[in-house]
Amino acid sequence: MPVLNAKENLVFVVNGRPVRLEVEPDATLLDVLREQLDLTGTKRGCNEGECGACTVLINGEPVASCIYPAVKAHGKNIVTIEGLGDESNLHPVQQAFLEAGAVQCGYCTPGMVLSAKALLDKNPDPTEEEIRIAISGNLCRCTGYGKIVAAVRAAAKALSAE
Amino acid sequence: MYWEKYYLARNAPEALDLLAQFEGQARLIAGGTDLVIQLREGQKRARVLVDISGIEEMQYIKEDNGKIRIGALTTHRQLAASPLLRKTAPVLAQAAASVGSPQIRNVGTVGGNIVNAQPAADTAVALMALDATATIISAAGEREVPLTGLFAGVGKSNIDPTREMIKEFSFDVAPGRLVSAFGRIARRNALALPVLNVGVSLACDRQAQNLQKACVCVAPVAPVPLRATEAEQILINEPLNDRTLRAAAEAAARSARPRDSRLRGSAEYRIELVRVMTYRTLRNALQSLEGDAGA
Amino acid sequence: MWYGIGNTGLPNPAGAFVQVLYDGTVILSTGCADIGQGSTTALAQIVAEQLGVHVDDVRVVAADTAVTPDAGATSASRQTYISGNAVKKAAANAGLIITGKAAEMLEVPPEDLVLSEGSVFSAADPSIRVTLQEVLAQCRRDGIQVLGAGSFNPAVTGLDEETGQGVPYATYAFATQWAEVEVDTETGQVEVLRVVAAHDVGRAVNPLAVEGQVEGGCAMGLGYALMEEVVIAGGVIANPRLSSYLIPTACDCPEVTTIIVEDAEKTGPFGAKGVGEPALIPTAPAIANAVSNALGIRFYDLPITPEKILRALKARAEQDAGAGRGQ
Repeated sequence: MPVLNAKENLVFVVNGRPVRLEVEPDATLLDVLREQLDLTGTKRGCNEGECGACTVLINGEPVASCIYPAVKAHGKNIVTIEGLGDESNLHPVQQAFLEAGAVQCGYCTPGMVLSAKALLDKNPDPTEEEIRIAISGNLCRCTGYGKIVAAVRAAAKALSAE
Repeated sequence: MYWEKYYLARNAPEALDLLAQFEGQARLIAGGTDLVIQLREGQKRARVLVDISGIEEMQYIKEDNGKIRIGALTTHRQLAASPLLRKTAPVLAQAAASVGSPQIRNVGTVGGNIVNAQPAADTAVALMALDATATIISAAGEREVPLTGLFAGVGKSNIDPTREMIKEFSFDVAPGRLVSAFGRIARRNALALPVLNVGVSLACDRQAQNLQKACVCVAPVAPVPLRATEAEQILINEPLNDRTLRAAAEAAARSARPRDSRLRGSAEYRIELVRVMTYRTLRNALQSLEGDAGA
Repeated sequence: MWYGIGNTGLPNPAGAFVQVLYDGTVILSTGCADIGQGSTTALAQIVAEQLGVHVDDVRVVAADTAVTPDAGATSASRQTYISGNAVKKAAANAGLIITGKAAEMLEVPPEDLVLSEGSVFSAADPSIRVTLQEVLAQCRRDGIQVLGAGSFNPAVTGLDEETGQGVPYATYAFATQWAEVEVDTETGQVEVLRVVAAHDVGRAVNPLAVEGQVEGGCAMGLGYALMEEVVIAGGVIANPRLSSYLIPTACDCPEVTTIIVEDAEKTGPFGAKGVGEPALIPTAPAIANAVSNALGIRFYDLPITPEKILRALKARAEQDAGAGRGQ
């Protein structure tokens, strides 16, 4: 098969699990995650790549899934917030957010946590400025970002102590 | 449905074949960070999208015989992080680092940024300031177009995305020394379109006494990124000192023709910013020269 | 700044139900909607404190209009104060059943008994005591359910139509904020370097949540001061998107130092008041004052954009030049 066409099977890995499914040619990755895979932890915010609520990791990098055609994800490795941890077994970044009070309404949180994770995967000891730039594509209306920055710093410590 | 078919092309000939096959109804998509929104809102139309972002051989940044060559599908993140660009053409690395957000920079490509032809596109301003050339390929073959000839108006480039694609950008970094810098004013410190962008590059002899070439690009102060040629002439012809930089900045401000914009501010305000930011950006570029000399 | 807590000059009651199950689990039912400010946690803390149980034993059923008692809107900085009082009363009424039963068991008057740390004991002689578990077991044997309802309406009056006089609020929040800014006088750009925010919240039920409210309020206030503006053109909002209506990003918000001042409010639940809006209101004036302190020019309309700053600086320079010629 030279190229992937509309309605053909999309094959990718979501949270470590291989997935094969038929998607609409103009579906976004966000549509597919939420509507077809029931992974509703990824939020739809502005729907134009301006707020970061829909952030997922594609091959380790944060991406706005609301403007990312689903077909583009063919062959790629996707991580959503559901891929990090669950209530009984939180990822260190999630645990740090909880402890620092970095979550208020929670709408930005899944994207924020994933942006933070992507940063710490590459840069285990980021400066405050590096943290702020890494989360600059994730808008938060509640927290003023201070406790989020503190949480990322705490997560960096926790991860390096592991 | 915003588009009916979506193809993932594995190489450039395959992409061009697909474009030919759909006779104007297909267009290329790279990162799609602008195009997806434009298609949804009906600002652009395409029945078929041909995705070229997976063509890895068009993602590169390399130095080759005194030229820097950049594959059109290089992402903004790759440009911003490139040690080669940070050293040889910081204007482009800084410009790429200013685009959108990390999420956008991870996906958006330099080729897409140029074809999208927004007059203030960060990488367009930087590539104009580097006096870069684009190599464009189509079924008819290859052609080289200077960046200055690439823009036709707001959102309009002289590249037909239903027929052609940009292969690479290139610019000279030798002989002599090239210094460059990028200046940007936006309404907030991240994730904001520019109110004003300034890119400058200055080529000088080894002793850094005189400039052999000066490029100053400001935007958005016209429908396309503007080369401030009068400012460039002043920089080349006058002795290299603070007065000359100020005179060049004045000249750049004189050449700017911004419109009043509800979101970007009045023309008067932005002309003032052209003056201030051109001067500062020139000074920043020359400071890196002094830094080199001292080292 | 001083700012009224609750709806202005209007009745705005909240209600709550509390049940203590025989296993010690407490069910709190409240109409209070937690929109991220942490009211569910704070109200659970108030109930736990009132009944002398651990907060983890309190389950909250919140903001379900099908089953929860009306608590009014999460607005007007009112829920900690008003719903806080309602849940405290509901818990106190459930507590009366516990102390009543304990009084029989201990043979002391119920009004002498205290509920604390999972026990019921005599205030006069704490050695006279019984565990909550034992009291609940007795309630179970006797077929008594431990239920309480509570409501609270702040003591306000309507405002006189002629004079505007009256008692619009039962209590007020007080705050002072301080901002340090740097202004680029050539571009007009303002950078907020630091904000210190001191807030009298009566009693901080949950200090981490109070800090969160204050820091978030400061970020909103910063946007209000410097960049946020709904632009209306021809009756239509011209910037209805996050790409055109800009709010602060992580790179725009400064470090905020929160100083929590606790001057207990007599009518508040354990002295608590509210901090929702009060956190946001002083920030823009503090930033505007800091800009004016830096430039010696006052600004009377928000947002204070770089363009307005440059225009004001230019006007002053022209005025100074004019004055110079006149001499």
